[in-house]
Amino acid sequence: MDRGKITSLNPYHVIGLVVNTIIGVNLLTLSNALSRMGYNQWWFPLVLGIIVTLSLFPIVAICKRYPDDSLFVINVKLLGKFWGRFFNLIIIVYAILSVTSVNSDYVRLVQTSMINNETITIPLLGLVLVMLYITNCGIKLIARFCIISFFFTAWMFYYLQWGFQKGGIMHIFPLFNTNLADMLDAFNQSYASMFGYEVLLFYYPYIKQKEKAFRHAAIGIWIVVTVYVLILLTSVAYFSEWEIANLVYPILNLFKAVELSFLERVENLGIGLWVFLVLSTCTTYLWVARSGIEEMAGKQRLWHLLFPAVVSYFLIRSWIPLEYQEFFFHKVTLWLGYGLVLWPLFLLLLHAIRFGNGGKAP
Amino acid sequence: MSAKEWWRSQVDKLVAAKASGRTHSNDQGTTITSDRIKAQMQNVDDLNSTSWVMNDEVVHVFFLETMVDNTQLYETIFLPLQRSDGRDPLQVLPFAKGIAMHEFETAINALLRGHTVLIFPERDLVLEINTFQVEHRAISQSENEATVLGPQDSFVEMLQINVSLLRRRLTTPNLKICTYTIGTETHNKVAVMYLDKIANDQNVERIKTRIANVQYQGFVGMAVLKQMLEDKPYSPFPQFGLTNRPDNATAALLDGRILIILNGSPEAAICPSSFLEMFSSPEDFYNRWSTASLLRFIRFFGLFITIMLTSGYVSVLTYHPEMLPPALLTILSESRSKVPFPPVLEVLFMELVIEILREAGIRMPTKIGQTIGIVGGIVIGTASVQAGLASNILIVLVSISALLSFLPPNFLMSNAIRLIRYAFIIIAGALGLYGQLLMLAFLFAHLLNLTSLGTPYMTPGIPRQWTDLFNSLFRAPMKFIVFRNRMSRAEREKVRPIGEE
Amino acid sequence: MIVRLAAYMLVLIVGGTLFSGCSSEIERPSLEDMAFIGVIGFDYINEKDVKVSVSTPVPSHSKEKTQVYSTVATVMSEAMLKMSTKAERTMSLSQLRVILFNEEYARKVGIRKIVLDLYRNPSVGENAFVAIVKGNTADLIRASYQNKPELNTYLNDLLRPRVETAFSSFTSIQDSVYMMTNEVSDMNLPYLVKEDDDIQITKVALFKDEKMIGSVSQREGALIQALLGRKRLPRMSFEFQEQSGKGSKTEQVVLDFVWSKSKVRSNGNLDHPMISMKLELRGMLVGYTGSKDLKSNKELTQLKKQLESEIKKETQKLVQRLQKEGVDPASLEESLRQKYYGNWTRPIAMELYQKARFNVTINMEVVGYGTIK
Repeated sequence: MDRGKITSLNPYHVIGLVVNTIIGVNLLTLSNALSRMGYNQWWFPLVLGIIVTLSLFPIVAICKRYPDDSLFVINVKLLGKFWGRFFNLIIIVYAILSVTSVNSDYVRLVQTSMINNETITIPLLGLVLVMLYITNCGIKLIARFCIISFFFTAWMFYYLQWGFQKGGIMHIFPLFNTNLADMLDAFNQSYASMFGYEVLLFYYPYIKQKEKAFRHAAIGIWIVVTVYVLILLTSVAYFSEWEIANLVYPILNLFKAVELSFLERVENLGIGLWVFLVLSTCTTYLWVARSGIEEMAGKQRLWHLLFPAVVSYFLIRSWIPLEYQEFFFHKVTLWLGYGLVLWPLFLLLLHAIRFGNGGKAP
Repeated sequence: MSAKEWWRSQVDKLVAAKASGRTHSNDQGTTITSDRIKAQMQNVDDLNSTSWVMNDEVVHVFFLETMVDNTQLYETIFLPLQRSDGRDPLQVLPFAKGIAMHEFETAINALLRGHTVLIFPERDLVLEINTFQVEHRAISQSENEATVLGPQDSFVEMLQINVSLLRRRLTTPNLKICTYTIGTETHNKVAVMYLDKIANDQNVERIKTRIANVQYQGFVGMAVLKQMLEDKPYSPFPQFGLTNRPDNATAALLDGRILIILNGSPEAAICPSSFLEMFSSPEDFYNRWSTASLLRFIRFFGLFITIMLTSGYVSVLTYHPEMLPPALLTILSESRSKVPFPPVLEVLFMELVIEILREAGIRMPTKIGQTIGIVGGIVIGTASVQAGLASNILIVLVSISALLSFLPPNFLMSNAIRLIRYAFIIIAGALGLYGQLLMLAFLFAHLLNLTSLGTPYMTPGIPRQWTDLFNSLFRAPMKFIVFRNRMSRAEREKVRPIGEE
Repeated sequence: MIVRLAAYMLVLIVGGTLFSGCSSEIERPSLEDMAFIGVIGFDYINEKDVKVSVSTPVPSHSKEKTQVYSTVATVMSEAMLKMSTKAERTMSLSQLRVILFNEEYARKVGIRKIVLDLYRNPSVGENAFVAIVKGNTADLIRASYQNKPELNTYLNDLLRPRVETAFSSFTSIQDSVYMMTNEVSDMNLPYLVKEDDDIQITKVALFKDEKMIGSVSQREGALIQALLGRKRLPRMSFEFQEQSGKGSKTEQVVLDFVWSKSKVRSNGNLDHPMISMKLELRGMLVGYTGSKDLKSNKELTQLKKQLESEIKKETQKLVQRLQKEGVDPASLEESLRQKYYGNWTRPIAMELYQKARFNVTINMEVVGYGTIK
């Protein structure tokens, strides 16, 4: 367990954390989310990458001014005790909602495609327990887990070649056949699949090479973008536009077609292995929620970890109708996410007013 | 109260109790006399206490018959004393060491270790001479870490011999040996060995502190002590390496690791040690690099196969029959058609049978054991298929996974793998492939969380330095092995003096 | 602490499910309790109803057996429900390999609804083959075939991609959905005919939207596949009238195509679309009855020219026929789409396709001519 301000994350850890927190369950639906762009969606991650990299600047800038504090502390320092805590509470809610949305999407997917005549209770419980175990051991274990889950899942991309074998790579023409309205819609639909880098605001104090944090985070982001582009290219080559718009999980349909001599329907294995990506995403957010509660309470207790996990478990298993769940997990999370990404800009402004531009906080 | 706190409080209590009511400590400071020793050693029937009259001078001699050879005693003590003509015994007996008159406990300790204690009441002199000589097992081939090539000797149950086995290989004053006495009852010796200026000082300090903090009645084997020194005692995985091959131990020393050797146990613990090293054998360096790499791959991926194979059978048959290609489906459903159990029970049953065979094979005398093993395997396997208790495909899978689980050269690791296999089978029965992979995630999270002497257990899976990869799953040609493993945090990083010294 | 908690919970869950699973009233069926439908057939009854027949292999040690069930239903799930109550094992679609439609159904109702229904079902794999059957699928499924493996294996292996049947498009369910929905082509499916003890892929059924409208021969099918860019094509034979001093004589050439490549490009002009097709073929002469000296470079080139012009003629004829019928199994519209900015829809595609002109270039190479000169 990480006690005190031990800087423990080396560059590999930072890159791994960025990559695997971003790549989560959203990747499965990414192609579908971008369906308004039709066959032109494959270059859209590049646009997203640029926007994300731009939004990384204020994030790192505010962190540099407070190298030893996470956003929770910065909030309190800059906004005062009451307002700081108020916004911290919102961040904790955001983190819990993120955990919940990732878990619920994934568990429902598992339930519909892999164990389709059982309820989600036990799969979800298993997932939550493993998530708790990992989070309990601190940010460094999460980072290590991120790295290993990248290797566990990266080989799956080899099977993307199945999509290219159909030879539809010419689908990428005509290039840039799109309009602004479609692009904006696609942006809104797909930005959720880029969230995860903003967690840098919270684990920045633990990074060893702080001066290079921006570079490492950017490397992570562009690894993600490359992965996204590859996957979208495959689904553009393999599917018709109708299929992209109507299949919820195009990648899984792609894996469904893979036939090995001793194994068919690799999508089962694919969804199963996705648990690594899901865990690496949700543990990071759970860790944020936990450290937020700890910051508020001022001490370390086990229930600070259990509480958000239990809340998220019951949000999924609750009586809340599915359409409200949908609203909470996707709409509210998305808007809170936008808010959190833009929040450093506001803080920087406040910092400049209070301490002068670029100055170190007392 | 968490387990750790509970443990700590127990230890504190023990230490406190020891400090106040120690049996021996009261005797410290009493004068050594013949009667005292006899009183202390009452009912110790192998104690030989005689009084000689040498040159008109009484000498009380104490030694344990079981630890001392009579002829040697005669030659090394009796004869010189007899010829001394009243000279100072310390001059006559060059190997003798004097004990101060009040160090009663020292005398008793020496006696118990096979030394001979001589009391010269007229001179107020007490001497001890090391006359320890016992029968011991000859240095023989290593049974559980056998290799085809390379040195064939192995450690025995005597610390001195084990240390000498290493000394012969490392002719350097930098080989340091620190000996500690541990065990509140056994007062056994434990040696910490390391190469000075190569091994990391912090690691050495850490080991020494841990050994000093161990409070236990006594250790009958290295494996017991190792469990008390490891970082995460609840984990099923061994966190220190355990070897009984001196060549393996020497290689570890040279890499900057620290060895712990317990007297009376033919093994050395290597720390720190990584997960991957549990799958590598010293033979990897005797083989050509290409063969060695292949073998390492097989051993390591054998781990995944052994935990996923039979559990995969369960989950595919219960949850994902669509994953079977048509040909396999036909074979499987044919062989399953007579089996009355669900696949989970079928697999658990067969795995347990294998486990029983293995356990029975170990307990039985070697000659019978082998026969029973083969007969049992074949008979039970065929019969259970014929009787419709298991499908023949499963027999094949179970045997493969059983064989694979014996691949890791480290015995404790292979036991750990067999244990976690059951967890995989059971969760596969409950949640199918998803459960298996969830379990795999849990397993790897756990492995990532483990440390060995404070260094991550999963190095170089997550390399601390990219040169570590040359000696990981892949064993590079010797030319590339320039740096010591980063895991040992060696003081000198390079294995050859290239531009460093 | 949390480790132990997690461990306990895992044990609890696993143990709980395991033992409750054993004692529960309805046990989860494992492999041998399932009837895996391998072949499913749909026959026309009327616009609303369809007769569904399925065949499931029965595992047994001695002889391979097949169970067949039939029922009449309006939707797929209803049919599954009705048939499940007839079978002693649990019916499952997860090993579905072949989907058959009879010709009448394909012509009158169209296959879209059923194909999408199956495609939506997560347990159905992507690789189930779709084919059209002459006559009733029920007859084909119920019939017994001498000296053949049991039906599921037989049909699956028959429809599996092989060079010999490379004139059909080996349409899997994913391919058929793709072809139905991709806005640039029309579906084509293999056409099966049952003859006594055999089933034969005789020709290729052509579809417009979801309904079958006609068919093309094996040879035309092969050309369509060549235009679609398939690498391996089936063997083709050509006949030429050979003019020599002693009058004309028919010579026959049999070509084994070892490699082919197509390049279909359009000029991007919306008013006068022009589609140029370039086929590169490499073939091996496996049969030749004429009198040309194949060793002579000149005469081989002459033969090559003859082949090129023959293939070109046939391709042009085929393409024009397809254009007239308003179907595009060769996906020529794709070349138009690649240069069209804006929202691409099938009516636009069809309109452009109908007025397009074609330019066919064949590039033939004879890589060998067997071991006899």
